[in-house]
Amino acid sequence: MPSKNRASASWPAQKPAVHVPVELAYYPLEVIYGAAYALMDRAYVLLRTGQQGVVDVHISGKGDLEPDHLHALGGEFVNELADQVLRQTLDESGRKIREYIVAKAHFFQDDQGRNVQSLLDAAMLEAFDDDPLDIAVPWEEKYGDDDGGAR
Amino acid sequence: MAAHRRGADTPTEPLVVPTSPPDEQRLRGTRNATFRFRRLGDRVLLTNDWGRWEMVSAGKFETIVKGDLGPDEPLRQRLAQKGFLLDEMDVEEAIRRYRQRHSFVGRAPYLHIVVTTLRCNESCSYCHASREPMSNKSVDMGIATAKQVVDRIFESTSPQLAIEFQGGEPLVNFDTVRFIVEYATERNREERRDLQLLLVTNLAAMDEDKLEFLLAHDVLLCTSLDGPRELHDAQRKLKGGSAYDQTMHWIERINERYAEMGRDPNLWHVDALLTTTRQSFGHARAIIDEYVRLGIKTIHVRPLNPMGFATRTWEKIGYTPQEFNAFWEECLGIIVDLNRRGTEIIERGAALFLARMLTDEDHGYVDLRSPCGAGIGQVAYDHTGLIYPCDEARMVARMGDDLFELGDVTRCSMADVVGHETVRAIGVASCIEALPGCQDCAYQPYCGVCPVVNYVAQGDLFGHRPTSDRCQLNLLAMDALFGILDREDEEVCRIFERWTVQKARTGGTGLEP
Repeated sequence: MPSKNRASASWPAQKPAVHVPVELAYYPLEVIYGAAYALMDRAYVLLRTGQQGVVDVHISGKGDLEPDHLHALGGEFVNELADQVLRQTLDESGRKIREYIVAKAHFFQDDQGRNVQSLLDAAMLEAFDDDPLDIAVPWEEKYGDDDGGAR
Repeated sequence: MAAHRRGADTPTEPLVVPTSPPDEQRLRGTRNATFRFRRLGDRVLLTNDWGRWEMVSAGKFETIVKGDLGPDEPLRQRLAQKGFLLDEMDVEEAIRRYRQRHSFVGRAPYLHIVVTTLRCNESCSYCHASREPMSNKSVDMGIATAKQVVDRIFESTSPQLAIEFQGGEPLVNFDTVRFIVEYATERNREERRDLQLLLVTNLAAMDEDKLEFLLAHDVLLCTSLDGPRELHDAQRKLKGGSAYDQTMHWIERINERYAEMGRDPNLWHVDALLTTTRQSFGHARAIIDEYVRLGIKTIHVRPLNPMGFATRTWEKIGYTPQEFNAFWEECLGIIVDLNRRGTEIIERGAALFLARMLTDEDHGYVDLRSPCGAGIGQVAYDHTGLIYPCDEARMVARMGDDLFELGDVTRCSMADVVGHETVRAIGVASCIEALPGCQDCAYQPYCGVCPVVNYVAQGDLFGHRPTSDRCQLNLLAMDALFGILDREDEEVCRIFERWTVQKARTGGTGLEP
């Protein structure tokens, strides 16, 4: 949370603003950040420490806004808070399975989308196809019965 | 108004005070679900990481969130089948789809953009390549550099390679184009890659000899066509003549030659690109009619690239994302209507998004993927042999900023390119799974960002989605497309599905840069 002095220094002076106090116990900072981010194209959003456990959110239009529009922007922020809570809950519910899916999809994949086992199988086959020294050819096939006195 | 004109230290009265906790009952359904969502009027779009989507009414959305969907409801069954419900998810199927959608991740660069010259015989108000005058032959790529470029290209391990000639106007340095085509073809006899050669040209410097060479080597041809004569000639000035006349003559001549060679006109024809400026607005019908008249099967209604000369002329030719989108939607409506009446023509921008929305295939488009293709899917080579991770990065260098330069072809191998710290930085900055504004966006599975454009437009690689024109353009386009799909017009859905099917030309990969 920015200090009061720093926040005041960056806040557009003399801009009409709407004020929304938000209880941190119900709406964590991450949720507030997400809701604020959704307004960034149209608004400046200042977060300040309020009373115990409360974040004071001040929203002001980037352009000149009529009071009705400013209030609508505040309403949009509150609606967005509710949606951000929903997003956070969904994220928590599905995170483990999504991480598993992404990890497994990427880990077992080569550049053709084949998994590691099929890649190894193909490599083994290729290895036997390419045998310039005839290492894979049995001794009998290479030299017949003549052992050349090796025994 | 005066009552609201207060500074930060004198806040207004509180508007709304959400002092109660979020309704736990309301959120019960989310404990067994995984999706992102986007509200579109009274409809809500649900998507997941593996690209499945479902559009529901706002009322049904509340039912889903509350967990009140009955076990036999068709919507519940659809959500389960698409992997939205945790306790009924087919995890292996989700992995398979996710893997297929991201099959580009482990591949080496396949798209290689070669700038054989910066000279150009036309002067365009929107030129993002920052052309040089025809007299300045110092900006031509020499044969020795060209050979090293081809050698570097074949260092890529990608089984598919596309060499795209860009400029300037590549035809004004045709000796180098000819050399690269012949040398790459020769090398490929041993390499046996799926090699595609593509030349992007305004056609004004074409002649019969060049054409016969290009046709003989299956070099695909793509030109620029901005619409009817008045519009095309107003935007593209050709010294001593009409750019439009030259383009028309050669499009017709090339298509005639394809026919003489017995090539299927549905696959073999000159492709064209439309660059939209403010002057294009109000001419959607005339522009599309021009494309149809010439037998062009694809029209890509592209927004301006905020680079090169376009940055200087933006006041005159530029527009907001909303203005562009209105024009694009108008074009899309006309094109869909033409398809309904039997004229097969594709709007390429829509087709690229639809391919991500309706299929799991990787269509090779480096802009709509995460991470983006810079340095890992594509590489650009300028006339001096300097290497850049993408063509946009090369354009930034032309604007006087060499931030994205990776090295030159004499010293920098393809392995150096792919592993370069600049490429890695762009990769990190384009992983939309972790970007603010993207990470919870419902369009994440279908979208991508361009850190180079972010850098130019917003001053840093990561960018700022709420104020990004590129983000706005993508959001507006996908809002429109999902809105159309939601109407469930069977004929339109069939048309859209057809647009997602790629038809490979013999000797080519089917990949479209």
